[in-house]
Amino acid sequence: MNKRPIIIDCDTGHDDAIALLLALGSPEVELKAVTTTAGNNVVDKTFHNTLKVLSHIGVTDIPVAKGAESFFFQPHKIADHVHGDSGLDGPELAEPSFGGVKLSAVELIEKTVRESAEKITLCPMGPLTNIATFVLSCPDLLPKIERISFMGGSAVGGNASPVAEFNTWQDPEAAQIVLKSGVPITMCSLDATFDAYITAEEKERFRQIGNKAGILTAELLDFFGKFHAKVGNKGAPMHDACAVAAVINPALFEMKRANVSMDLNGTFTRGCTTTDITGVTGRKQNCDVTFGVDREAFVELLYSAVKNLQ
Amino acid sequence: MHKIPVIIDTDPGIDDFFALAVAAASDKLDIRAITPVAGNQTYEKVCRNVENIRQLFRMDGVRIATGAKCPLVSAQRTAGNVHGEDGLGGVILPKAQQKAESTYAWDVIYEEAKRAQGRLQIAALGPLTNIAIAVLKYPDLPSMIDKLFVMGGTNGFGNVSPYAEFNIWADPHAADIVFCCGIKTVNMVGLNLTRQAILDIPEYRRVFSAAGDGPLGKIVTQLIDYLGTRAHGLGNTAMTLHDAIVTAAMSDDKLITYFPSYVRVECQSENAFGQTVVFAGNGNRVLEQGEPNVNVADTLDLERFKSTLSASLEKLKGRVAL
Repeated sequence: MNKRPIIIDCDTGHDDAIALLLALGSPEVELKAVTTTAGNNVVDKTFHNTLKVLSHIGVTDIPVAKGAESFFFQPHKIADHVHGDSGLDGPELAEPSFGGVKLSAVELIEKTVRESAEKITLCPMGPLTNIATFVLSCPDLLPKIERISFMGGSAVGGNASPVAEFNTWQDPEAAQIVLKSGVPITMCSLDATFDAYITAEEKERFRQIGNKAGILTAELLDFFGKFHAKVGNKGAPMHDACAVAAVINPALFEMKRANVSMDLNGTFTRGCTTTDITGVTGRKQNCDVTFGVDREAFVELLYSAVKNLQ
Repeated sequence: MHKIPVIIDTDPGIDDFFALAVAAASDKLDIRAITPVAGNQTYEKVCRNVENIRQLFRMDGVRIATGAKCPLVSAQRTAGNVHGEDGLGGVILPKAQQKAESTYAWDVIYEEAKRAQGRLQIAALGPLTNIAIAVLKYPDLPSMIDKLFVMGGTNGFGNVSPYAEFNIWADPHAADIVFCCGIKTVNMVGLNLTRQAILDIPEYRRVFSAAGDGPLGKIVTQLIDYLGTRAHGLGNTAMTLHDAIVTAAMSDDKLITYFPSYVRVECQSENAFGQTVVFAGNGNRVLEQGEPNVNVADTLDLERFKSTLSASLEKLKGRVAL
């Protein structure tokens, strides 16, 4: 089978870590590179966390680069109330057994895309700062991007504000640059990702796989699930893993075509991904937006991926 | 039982016509005044429609005040694409003998609030310009109003833009002033609620058959036919009567359920201009927010609404003045 080459841009993060496991354990995709950004925590931590997760499951041959430390216009706010002090609290992970590449995130994306014979799919799951910088600086490479499948945004209801999702709210201008890039986009929005959760019973199934990846998944969920239980969510939502799952099997999601543009100047609405599903704005459709997910199939997909790993 | 003293602030508007019909037919409401406001159409047109409807329904003794001709801050925009050039889809009503009085809407609202001694309820069916001017001019007015029902806004998707509803979008600054002015009960009946009364046009015809085939029946049929063609023109096969739900709810606590929320109106955003930002809306999770200032309408008892509509028209059919 022809594997789809992907690059993950992340701010690891519990659900980012699980997205990495999904990508590494799925035969449908090949993870070519990982880039990191400020987001859930500062970029030094998200970069370090990424290396730790990959090292833990013995994957040390994938280039990892450190990216944006700050956003285009918006001051950085970390989400330590969700992910803890380290940005990945919970599992006891050893120090990384390899280092990142000497390139910046944007340079690594550029090099990977340029050297690839096939088109590359980008899976961003943090603020879109690195991806926007790539879009701005490498216009000649955009035709080589198969699709951008990003976790972020929301048609209705946010988690960082009443109407805005955390990633797009963190760097709205970057998100606007990406949305206007002309590259085909899948927006894995809160409308579906909140329903892509793992229950406490399902978590134990992961633990029982007994491999490093399975135990790591369960331990990540032990910590991550506490926050979500506290705020009344049904389980631990795997927001970021949706960005990868939508590449592996788009049919898991109920999608609607829409024009999505960023709200950049609202007093109460800045950072919202304005999602026009009826065409009332007259703007051209630029996104496939997730409005629902087959949760059980999603969890099954994740389960088999984790099982395939060390 | 004491009737509820009410003021209806309105911009007819086809659904406003039905809202006024429901109010006029109600034996629980004592309509003290109607305050026209520019909205669905320009001020002169909606005021003329209010005058004609008052006479048609024989609402003798109901004052009509002089309302605001344009929004507080933003440029005026009407909804002629939905309600037609004259606001009533070209349906000719008998011309009113009596004109509106020259007293301003905000002064009439204040007078009537004093007179009602804390019992006044207001139904605002258009942009909130008149109400905003009233609370700006009379800072003690909010505490004198029992309930304000607003047809406007939405918790979810909009109609004039992805998230904005027409009435709020037409004067968002007024809406934010009104939501934050301290009226103890502000019931926001938004599109998320009124869309629960979307019915196929034939279904509405069935409900409206209660108007009979006399003069009222003919007017109702013409209005529905017009709205039907507009609905088709806008790509719909079904329609709703936003404003009529509000006047039906004024005399019927069981019609609508609400949840309290902090609600603000977006007045700066290019994309979300006029959006009612519902901080406790569905899908919002653990966010810092202000004290609830608005009850957001959530669920509608549709069968109850249909019965009220039918019963109102049935009651009015022998009463119209031609």
